[in-house]
Parts: sequence; C-alpha cells; structure tokens
Amino acid sequence: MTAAAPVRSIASWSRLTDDGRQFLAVAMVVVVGLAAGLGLKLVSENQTRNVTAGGVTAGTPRSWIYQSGAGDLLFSVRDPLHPGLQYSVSLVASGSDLARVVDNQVRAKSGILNDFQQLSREPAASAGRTGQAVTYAYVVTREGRAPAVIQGRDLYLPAAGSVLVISLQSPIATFDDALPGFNRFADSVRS
Amino acid sequence: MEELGATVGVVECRICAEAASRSLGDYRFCERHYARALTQRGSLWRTDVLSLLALVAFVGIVYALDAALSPTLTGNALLAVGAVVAVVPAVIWLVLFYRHDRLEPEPAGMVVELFVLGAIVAAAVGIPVVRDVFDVGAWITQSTMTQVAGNILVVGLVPVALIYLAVRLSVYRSKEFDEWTDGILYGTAAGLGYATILNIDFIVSSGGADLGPATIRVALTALVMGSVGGLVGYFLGHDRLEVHSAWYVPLGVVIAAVCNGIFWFLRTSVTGGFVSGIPTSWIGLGMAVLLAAAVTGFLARAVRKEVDRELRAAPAGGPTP
Repeated sequence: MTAAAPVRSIASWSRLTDDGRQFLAVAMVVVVGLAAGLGLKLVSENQTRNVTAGGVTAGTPRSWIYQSGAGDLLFSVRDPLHPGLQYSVSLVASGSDLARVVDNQVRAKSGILNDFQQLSREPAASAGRTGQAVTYAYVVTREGRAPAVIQGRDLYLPAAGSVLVISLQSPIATFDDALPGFNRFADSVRS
Repeated sequence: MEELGATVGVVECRICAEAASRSLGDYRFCERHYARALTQRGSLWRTDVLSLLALVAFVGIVYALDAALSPTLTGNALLAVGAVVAVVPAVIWLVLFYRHDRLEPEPAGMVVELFVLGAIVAAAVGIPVVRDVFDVGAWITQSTMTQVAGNILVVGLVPVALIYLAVRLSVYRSKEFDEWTDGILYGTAAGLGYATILNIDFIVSSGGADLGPATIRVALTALVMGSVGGLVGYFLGHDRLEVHSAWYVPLGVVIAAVCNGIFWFLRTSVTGGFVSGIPTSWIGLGMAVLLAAAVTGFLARAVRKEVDRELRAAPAGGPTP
C-alpha cells in the first residue's frame, strides 16, 4: 500500500512527453528555489539582536538603528527602510497604580503632540504580564513637508515597582502591518 | 545502437508532420529540418557583438553630452527623456538583428512577440513578485549570506523563470523554433523586453534620473537580462533539437539564475563612490559588458562545437540541404 503512490508517480512521469517532463522539472526547480527564497526572507525578517538598557533587555530587528535614550526613555530603534516606524521602551516610576500612570502618560502626550487623539484603551497582555494598551494618533508637521499622521500604541506593563512602557510609532497607513512585528518585540522585552 | 544522423524508419519529424528520415540524438527530423537544425545563424553573433559595441558607444555619447551640456531636465521632461533612454538598448539590438538577418530571416513578428512577452511578464509578474511579495529591499542587505542567496533565489531566479515561460509557452513548440540558435535568439528578445520594463520602472519610480548615470543603468540592465535570456534560450534550443535528461533545461535555468544573481550581488557591492579612482557606476557597466561578452562567446563556441560534432557523426555527405 505504501509503495502505491511512488509507483503511480513514476508511471505518470514516464507517460509524459519529453517536453512535458522538461516543463515539470523546471517548475519543480523554480518552486523549490522560490520557496527557499521565501524561507530566507522570513528568517531574515525575524532575525533579532539583543539590546540592554537600564536593566531591560529586548530583541530588536537586526537591521534597525538603535538609539539610547535619556530620562524615562531607555532606548528606541527605528527601521531605516521605513521612515517613521520605530519602537521604544521607557521605564516610568509608578508612585501609584498602573491606571494612574496610564492617565498621566496620556495627559502628557496630549499636551505635547499635535492633534493628539486617543483611539482606544484596553487591557492587554505580553509575555505573561497583564497591563493596559493605549492606541492613539497625532499629526507631525515639518517645514516644507506635508503634515503626516502618525499612529502609536503604548503597552503599559507593571515591572517591579515601575511601569514598563513599550511603544510603537508608525505612519498611519502602515500601522496595521507593523503590529505583528511590534507584538513580537514586546514579547521579547524583559526587565 | 543507432548512429547519429543515420537514416531511420518512417516517423514524424520533431518539427513538422512530415516523414522523418534523419535523427539527431533521439529525435527524428525530415531532411529540411535536419539541415536547419544544424544551421549556424551568424547574424545572431554579429548582432550581439555589434549591439554590445553600439550600447557602450551610446552610453559614452550620452554621458559626454550630459557632462558637456548639463541639461536641467525636471518633472515630465526628465521622465520622458528617461523613458526614451530606457528603450534604446532594445531598439539597437532589434534594428541590428533585422539588418543582419535579411539573408536568413526569422518571421518578423516572432522576435518582436517575444520582446513584448518579456515586457509583459516583467510588468505583470516579475516586478510585483520581487518588490511586493518578496519585498527584497527590506531584508536582502542584512548580511553577505542574505545578499548572495537572496540575489540568486529571488532577484536572479524570478526573471529567468519568467523568460523561460515566455519562450516555452509561445514559440518553443512552433515550426519556427527549428535551429540550434533559435532559443538564444528568442531568449535574448524576451530578456531585452524584461530589461526594458525594469528600466522604465526604474526611471518612473525614481521620478526621472540624471541622464548620464541613468543611461549606464539602462545599458547595464539590458546587457545582463539579454545575456541570461540567451543562456536560458540556449538550453531550450538544445533540448528542442536533441533529447536530453528532463533536468537539462532546469540546469540551464539554475545556471542563468546564478549568473544573474551573482551579477546583481557584485553590482550592489560596489555601489556609490569610486574604486581606484573609477566611478562605481562605470565599474558596474564594465562588469555587465564582461558578462555579456563571456556569455556570447560561450554560446557561440558551444553551438559551433555541437553542430560540428553532429556533422562529423552524420553519414558521409552530411545532411541534405
């Protein structure tokens, strides 16, 4: 029974004309080559390097540019091929509960970001920790350039007396595409 | 064991439906197609060498004019001039080919048809697959390994596979595909069609480009795609006229994809600035000229060797014209 399928395949192969076998063989080589290319793409895109700042470690995309931060901001990484796309990690001292920290952060952002709009606020979890996620949008204006709408998502997670804020910033058009990568990044953050 | 070229029993010719009286490898041919199969199309090699020289001269002239006049083209004018420059390599090759092919003509429309098919598969499949599906720009530069493998498996393989499809699904089964060099001719035409769309896409997506550097890029792309198209076509032509393993043409596709991929890897490795005082764009063009010359030389030698072998193996008197 187990030999039936290979025997049938060999018989089908030999029934093909020379030209048919040639076509099928090329198709097989091309499919294998492209599948290997797709595998290479997936492996490359998921390649990360570990960065550590202020006692927090995270796996960032290998080709992204790292920049160390100041104050609450520990570091940020940005994609050189997609302007405006960046992740950042901050550590905020939590004098009170998590909800209060989220309120303060949202209030602060609404004060410094143009046309800040909170789009959602919901419970969220990452790497086994539960917290809150806030999604928002704002407008960036620069001399000589058209205004750009940026969408952001801040993930607030409690971390030993502090609150870890893991953020995504992306042009609004590519925000949804950027979310899976950001979730993987957030899962890699350890404090 | 049957002798090569020996007269055999009544079987249909591989090319037409007439009774076959000759054999080449395991395939049978009528007298006319046996003779045609062993014809060496000198016009193809003359066209390839002359268009190579004409292309280098074209680049030199445009570069010199650009440097001397420094035209200030912008917007649509820049796009229009760029688009014209993009099609020049293919026009040079086609014009030269038809001039030299008058004594041994291929159907006029067939070569143009393959050129157009190459252009269509590039626009409809090739460019979207490489740029959008594989999104190579986002990951290929991560390491030397990803650059080499990505250039071969995606940047090199996709155009080669599409050029193969364009030739295989159109002219390959027709009666016009009856000479050893036909595959090279049609493969080159499809490759040039592919290159033309790559060049137009480059000009349009960059919103026009400086004339001198753009001309180098256009010539380089045409040389490389024409060469790999010719390589794929050589294996197809050989397979059409002499039986081979089913893996013979796939081997040709792999070789062409590796040549194409390695070229683009090397080309992108010397981007920007100067090497020993020479602008890297000129080094890239030099590499493309070397590749085109090497492929043309290899194909001419290989075809001559195969035909000579068949003629030596044929019975006394050789094939009947």
